[in-house]
Amino acid sequence: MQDDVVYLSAVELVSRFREGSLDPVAVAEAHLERIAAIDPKLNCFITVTRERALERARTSAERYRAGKPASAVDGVPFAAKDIFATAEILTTHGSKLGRENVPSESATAVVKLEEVGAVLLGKLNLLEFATGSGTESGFGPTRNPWNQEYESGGSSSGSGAAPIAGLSTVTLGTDTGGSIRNPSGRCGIAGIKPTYGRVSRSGVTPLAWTLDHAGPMARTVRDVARFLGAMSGYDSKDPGSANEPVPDFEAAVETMGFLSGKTFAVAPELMAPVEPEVLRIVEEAIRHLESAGARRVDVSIPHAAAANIADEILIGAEAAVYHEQNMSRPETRSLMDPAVRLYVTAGRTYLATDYVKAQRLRLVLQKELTEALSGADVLVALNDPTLTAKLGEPTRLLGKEVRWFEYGTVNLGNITGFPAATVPCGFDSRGLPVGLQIYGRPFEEERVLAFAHGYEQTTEWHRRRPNL
Amino acid sequence: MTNRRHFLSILTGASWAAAACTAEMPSSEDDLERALQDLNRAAGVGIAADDFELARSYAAGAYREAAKTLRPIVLDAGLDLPLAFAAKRGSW
Repeated sequence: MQDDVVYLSAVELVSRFREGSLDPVAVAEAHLERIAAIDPKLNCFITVTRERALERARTSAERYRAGKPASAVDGVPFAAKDIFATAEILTTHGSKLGRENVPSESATAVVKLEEVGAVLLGKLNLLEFATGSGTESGFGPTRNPWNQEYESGGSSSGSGAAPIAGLSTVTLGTDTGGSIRNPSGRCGIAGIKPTYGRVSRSGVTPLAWTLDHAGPMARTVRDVARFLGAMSGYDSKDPGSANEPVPDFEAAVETMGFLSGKTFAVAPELMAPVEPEVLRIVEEAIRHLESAGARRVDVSIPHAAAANIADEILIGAEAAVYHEQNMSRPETRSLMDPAVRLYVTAGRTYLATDYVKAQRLRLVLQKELTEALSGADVLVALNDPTLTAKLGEPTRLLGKEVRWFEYGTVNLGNITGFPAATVPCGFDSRGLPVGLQIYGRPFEEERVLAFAHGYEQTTEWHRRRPNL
Repeated sequence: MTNRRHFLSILTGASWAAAACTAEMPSSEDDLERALQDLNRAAGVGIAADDFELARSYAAGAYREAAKTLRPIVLDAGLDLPLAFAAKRGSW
């Protein structure tokens, strides 16, 4: 019973809530039991809000009994990366610095979901302050559900691992340099970094103001679409928020979620350098797209490689400013992970001229990506060219230890602000998932999600479960 | 003025200055790390010694990558600087 319930999608759960064959309390209890049983070996959660979740689930059940559910996410369990502020709930940013931080207000994204009945199960582990590879959480690493010797990606580590482990139906992540897409790919789930400004970051601890995005992650694309709809919209509390209409993402997925007749672009700059094993899996996925009726067009994004160092300079400099006070006091500095101090310190040395050039380069890359997408519905790319590393080991690409600004295909999404989703597209020889990345035009997440759904529904990767 | 002259004299002798001013690649990562260390000390950047030790190789690597990948890109002079800034009336 428990395994069945915790692996039902949000769509299935709400359908069963409506027909009365299942109620939100039973679902919340099943998840809380599984968290207690499984999470000690994965370390996805920093805080579990058991009593609060059950109380909210009971209120949700009453709404269903009265025939008046609040929304299409009413009663659905979700959990938030512990960088989203939650009123009266510990919010650590994954850092020992935050171990007594209890905000008085919740982040807008959390408020929006709770207002329409979604049930918060707790707060999820992350790489400290949402920084990148090599960083550790102040609360220990999240282990990959497929093989606990391996990392689960980052920085939204717990958000990637929890859904596939059956610990939460949907999770919230943030993405400044791939931090939704990387753990989605490493853990074998779907996730989307929406267009910059689509989802409010108010109440989300900043890493880099001009690059931070927030978005949903789940086992199915349709659940991602449903939650993205519930989280999106203009928010005057976020200076980067976009006043754009919010389409019905899920309806678009249902009506346009097929591959036949669609066109996808492939750019060589986003397909190399890459581990041969990853390339083999992604090329197979591309062949699958073509055999399912989608048409491939080859395009070029000439300056794509510069997105990585540009993202590094922007994140480094902005994070250095955000953490100026934390770094200036020995009592706070000593509580920060050495890798975070490394990133922030490096950012403090970067040239203002490089920062300005990186900002202006964003417009060039927007133009190039727009041109690449001009004859296609979406652009398909590697999600991450490296194989998942063992915990504590450095990232390697083609046998060489690499720094994160030297490789990769995700930073283009942060630099341009264009939406990008990840779906599982295979497993490597060690049994670890590999992701496929799908880019789209700004504020056209529905097209990205529809294509991702079309791929997902013609493959079996999203149905696989780790043996826990 | 004296401080500025002192600051410039430090930069003049460093390969970092060459990278910044002439867009040539620094001669070695060691030179670059030393120049960054001098800059930190002389310009009062305020990086603690142990933090600098953690970050010196990474920062030098980023400088080299920027010299190789970012700085050679020639951007159109008409290109904007996409930073949001709005004057606010009575909002403080």
